[in-house]
Amino acid sequence: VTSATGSDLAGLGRYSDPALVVLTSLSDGPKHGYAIIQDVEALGGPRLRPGTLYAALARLEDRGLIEALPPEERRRPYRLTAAGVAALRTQLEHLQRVTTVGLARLEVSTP
Amino acid sequence: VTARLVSLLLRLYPETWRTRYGAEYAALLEEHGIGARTLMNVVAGAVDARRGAGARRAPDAAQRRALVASLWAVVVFAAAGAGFQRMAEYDDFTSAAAHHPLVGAGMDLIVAGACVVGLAVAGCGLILARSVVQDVVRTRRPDLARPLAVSAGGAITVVLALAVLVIYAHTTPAGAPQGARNLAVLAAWILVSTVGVAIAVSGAARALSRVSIGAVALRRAVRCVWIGAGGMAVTVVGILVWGVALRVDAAGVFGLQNGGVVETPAPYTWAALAIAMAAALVLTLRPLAATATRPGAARARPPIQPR
Repeated sequence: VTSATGSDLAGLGRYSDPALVVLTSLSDGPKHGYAIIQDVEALGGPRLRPGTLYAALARLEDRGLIEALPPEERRRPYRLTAAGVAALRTQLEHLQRVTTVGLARLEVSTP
Repeated sequence: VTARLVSLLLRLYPETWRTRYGAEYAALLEEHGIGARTLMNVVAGAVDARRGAGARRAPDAAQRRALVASLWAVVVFAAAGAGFQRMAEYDDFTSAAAHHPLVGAGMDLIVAGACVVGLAVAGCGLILARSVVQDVVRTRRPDLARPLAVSAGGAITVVLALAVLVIYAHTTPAGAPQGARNLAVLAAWILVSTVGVAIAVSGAARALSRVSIGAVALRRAVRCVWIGAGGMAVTVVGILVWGVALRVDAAGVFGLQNGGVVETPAPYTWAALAIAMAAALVLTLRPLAATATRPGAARARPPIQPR
């Protein structure tokens, strides 16, 4: 048994970026598809379209990073699993380190 | 127009994908609207789903297969259980169970196991019935109506056949039970009931494979199936203990000829029922074990593989 890591999102290929924003969107509670699209737009993330969203959702669910809740009307909310929380945390911490190092190097190298 | 377009676009996706995501995806497309770029995106999503369909199954496919298999297994188990009850209800057998501790212990195990199976079936049935009702009421799935109607038709057939048999039994004067007419009626009842059960279960299985079931409800239902499998295992042990103990402690009773419509020696009936119950257990356990190892059992498998 392996623990969830951010590198697993990188393993999603071209869906790793949509997967990251979907996980981020779900980090404050369950949401259905349309709410995720609106939330990601509000976050300033890439504009998710239905095909991309559900390709990412299917992959995340397949890997046990999110799980479906009972449907509300015809919409079905999703929420993070414990593995999803761990994967998101790892990936965000990795991005934070890259951001910190990158900004620090820019400070030094910029005249 | 949007609904028709959505319906057409959904057909681009593989069936397993549609079964799992179709209803919610259709709702999203209707809410989101379908412009040119969304149209291209949806087509690209369908291509992606089809490319992955061979390698990736629907995440909950293994769990659904376990539920469908357990449905058939419960029918086999219930039929075998009813057969055992009919066999062991005579005074000779109840007396043997009362006077020989091991025979009695076997009977207790059978009853305890059957009760566990009954409770598990009730629990699982309630969970799934709730999901079906929610799906039918909330999402108005037309594709569920037919399998549910077929299942109800099969169930009604079984009930009517049983009612006819009971009426026949009560209106027929007591006499030689092995008469040709009785045998013909019994054969017809078995045939009609078997067909009715097959129709009812296959309709229910079809509905079960299509209905939207939340991950939590699915996990609970599968947990009930595990409990039911435990009950079946206890019953199988019980029927083996009962038969062997009866053979050792009350050989005269064990060798009795059943005096019902179909005259069969008790040892053969016992062996056939034990085999049927064991088969029901294996039928339940095999797909159930797969839920712990296949993708889709999100909680039971490693969530992520290293890449």
